[in-house]
Amino acid sequence: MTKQEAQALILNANSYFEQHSVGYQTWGKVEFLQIAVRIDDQKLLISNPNKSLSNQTPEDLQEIPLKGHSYFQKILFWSRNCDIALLTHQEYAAQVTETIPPILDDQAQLLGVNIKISKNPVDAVFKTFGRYTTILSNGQSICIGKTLEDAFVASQLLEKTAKAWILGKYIGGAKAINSIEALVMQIYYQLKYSKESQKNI
Amino acid sequence: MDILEARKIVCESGKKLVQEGLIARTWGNVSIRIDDRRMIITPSGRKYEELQPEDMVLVDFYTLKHDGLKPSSELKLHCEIYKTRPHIQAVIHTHQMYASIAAAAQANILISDPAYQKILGGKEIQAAPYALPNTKGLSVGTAQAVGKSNAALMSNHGTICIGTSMEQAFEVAHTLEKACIQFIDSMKHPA
Repeated sequence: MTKQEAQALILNANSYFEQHSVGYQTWGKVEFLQIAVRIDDQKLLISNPNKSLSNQTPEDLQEIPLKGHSYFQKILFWSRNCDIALLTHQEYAAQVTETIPPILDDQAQLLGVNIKISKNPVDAVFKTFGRYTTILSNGQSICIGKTLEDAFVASQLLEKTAKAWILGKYIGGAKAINSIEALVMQIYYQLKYSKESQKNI
Repeated sequence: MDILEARKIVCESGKKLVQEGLIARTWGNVSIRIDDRRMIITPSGRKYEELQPEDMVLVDFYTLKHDGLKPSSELKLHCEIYKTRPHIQAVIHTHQMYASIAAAAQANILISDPAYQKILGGKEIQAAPYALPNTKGLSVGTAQAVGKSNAALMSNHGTICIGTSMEQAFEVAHTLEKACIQFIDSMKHPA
């Protein structure tokens, strides 16, 4: 991706989120705080964390090296298949204090076999291995994907899963799917089902 | 039912599922019965907003033979419902939020409101045993959980809602959601 493409993606991200919120109305509130976009294997472009995503200007965006010590740098350096990372604050994910096992099929397919809490950027590298989200110990979350759509869907699905986990406690607790079956579903989804939109035409 | 009319209804219903918050993206699926051995169902993996009536797939629910695009991966479940419930004309599979919470907990939902009981066809909505998507275990187990009612929870997955018309299937889905909210609230704040 060129720097100009990364810049356009960040500047248009907020309107993308608003346009694509249909279907997620009941899942819990997701607030997007910051975005990082991989330009190439050396550099990232990040939004200004002190300004709302809806008010970012080209001057607010900062190019930083891919190698570094922040969450964005650590996660995108090691998750080579992902080009986008979103820092979010989410109504229910913020209330989660322990690993969420696979409790929903769509969670297993899109987010990975479980959702883990990361204590720091190095820890987050391990907690996102084979996964597309992690909840940070400060209550924020990071959601990643190959595209903005993938990362956006990961954020929404994290919220749905967290809500099922939190509210499920009142009705006997969410029951986990077998981890092997969850992994099989993730592999099937990524290799086959997710390609249907291109193939099944 | 006329095939062209059925394609139109199923296409519109797919879009309505998203607009009404019953599913997101490509998840869920919807079908309508044509006659005693055929249905029209949404295609697999496609975004509903991009679909046209001609993209809807005609399937023989005894042989699973179909025309055009690849049908939804959950077609066996729809077929099982139509085979076991001859009066049912429409089936929708949703991933709606509060029913998904109950499905994740694998909880049977007690329906206390008589008006909801009438729409849902019983005093309890059962959670079918967990099975991997697109398996015989899922379709048979879910059809059994539906039983004589109009809905079932699919453990760790979502719901199946059925009706003698598409309108009724949607009414069942929305009523199930309200019943699940009521059920969770009653457990949160016991009387």
